[in-house]
Amino acid sequence: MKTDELLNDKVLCALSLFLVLVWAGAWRRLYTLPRLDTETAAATLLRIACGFLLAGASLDKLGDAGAFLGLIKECYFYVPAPLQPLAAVVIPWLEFFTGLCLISGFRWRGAALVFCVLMAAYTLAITWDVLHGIDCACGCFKTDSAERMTGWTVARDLLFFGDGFIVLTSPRTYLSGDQLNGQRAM
Amino acid sequence: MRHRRPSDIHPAPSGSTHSLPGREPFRQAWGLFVFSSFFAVLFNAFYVDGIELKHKPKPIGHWQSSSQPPIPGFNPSSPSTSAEASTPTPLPGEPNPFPRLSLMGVKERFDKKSCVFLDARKPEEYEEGHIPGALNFYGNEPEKYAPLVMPQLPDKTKEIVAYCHGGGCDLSLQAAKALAEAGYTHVEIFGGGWPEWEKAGYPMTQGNQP
Repeated sequence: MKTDELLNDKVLCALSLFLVLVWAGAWRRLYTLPRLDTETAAATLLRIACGFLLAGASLDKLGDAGAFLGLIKECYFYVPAPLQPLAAVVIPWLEFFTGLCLISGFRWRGAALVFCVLMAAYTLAITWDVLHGIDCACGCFKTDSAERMTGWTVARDLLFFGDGFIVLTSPRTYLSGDQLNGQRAM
Repeated sequence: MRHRRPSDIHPAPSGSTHSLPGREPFRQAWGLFVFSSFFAVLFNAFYVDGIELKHKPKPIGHWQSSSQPPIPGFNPSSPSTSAEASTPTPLPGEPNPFPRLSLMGVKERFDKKSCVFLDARKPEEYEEGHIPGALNFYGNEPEKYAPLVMPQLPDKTKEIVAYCHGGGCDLSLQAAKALAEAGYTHVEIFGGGWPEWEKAGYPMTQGNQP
C-alpha cells in the first residue's frame, strides 16, 4: 500500500482524534505513566502529530507554486488578487517551517499559534465555499487531489484546529528544542 | 507506591494549568512568519518553476476578430476562422478563473431564482433539453451568440451560471470568458453541467425557448 493511501485524511483524522482522547484522559488524570507527566506526554504526541500533518501537507505544494496559485484563483478567489501569488509562494513554506518547529519543539508555542491561525483560516475559507455551493478540490494535502470540499472537510479542519489549540495552551511539552537550548519549556 | 511525577522533579512554570499563553508565542509566530516569507520569496526567485509575484491583470479581449465589426458590449480579440480556432483553451497551468458551483449550489440558486443560467452547448442539444430559463450561448461561437444573449442581460452585476456537458467540457468556460470580457462581473460555472442536472431528475424544458 502506498504511503499516501495509508496516510489519507481519514486515517490522520482518526489518529488525531485518538491523540485528543489520550490527552483528555491524561488531563482528567485517568491514568499515570511512571516517570512521565502523562498530560505533557500526550501534548507532546499531539504537537509532533500536528507537525507531521502540516509539514506533510506542504510537501506537494513547495515545488509547484503555479498549481497552488491556480487552486487559489479557482477555489479561494476571494483572496485579494494582488496577494494571490504571494500567498501561493509563502503559505507552503510557512506550513513546512511551522511543521518542522512543531516536530522539533523549537519555538513550538509560536508554531502552535501559527498552526491554529492556519487551521482557522482554512476552516473559514472552506466553510464559505461549502455554504456558497462552490465545488472545488480542497487542495489540503495535494494540489491535484480529487477530494472535494464538504462538511466533512470542515469538521476535519476543526478537529485539527482543536489539536493545535491543545498544544498551544499546554503548560509544557517534552522533547522540546527550546529545552535543549537551555530555555525554559513554556 | 506513588510514582514521582516529572513535575515533582522539574516543577512546571507557575500556573501550569491550561491558560492562554502570553505575548511570547505571538513574538515567536511573527518571527516564524517573517523567516518563512523571506525564505519563500528567495526560493521562488531562484527556483526554475518560480512564479511571477507581481499581480498582472489579465489582458482582455483575446478573441477579437479583426474581420468582423465589433459587437456592442462584446470585445473578442483573436481571429476566428473556424470553430476550433475560436475555441481557445486555457494555457497549461492557466487556472480556470471562474468559481465552480456544485449541483447543490446550482439547485439552490435555481430555486431562489437568484441567477441566470447560460447553456453553452450546441443549439440542437439545447433544444433537446435544458434548465428552465437558461439562455443558449454556444461556447464555440461567442461572436454569434453575444449580440443575441447580452441584450437580455442588461445588469452586468447579475449572477450568471454557465454550464455544458460537465467533466472536461470547455464550452461553459468559453461562454463565461466571453461574458467576463464584456464586463459581466459575477460569472460562475456549473462543473457537473447538464448530465449531472439531468441525472438528479431536476426540472427541464425542451425547445428553443428558455
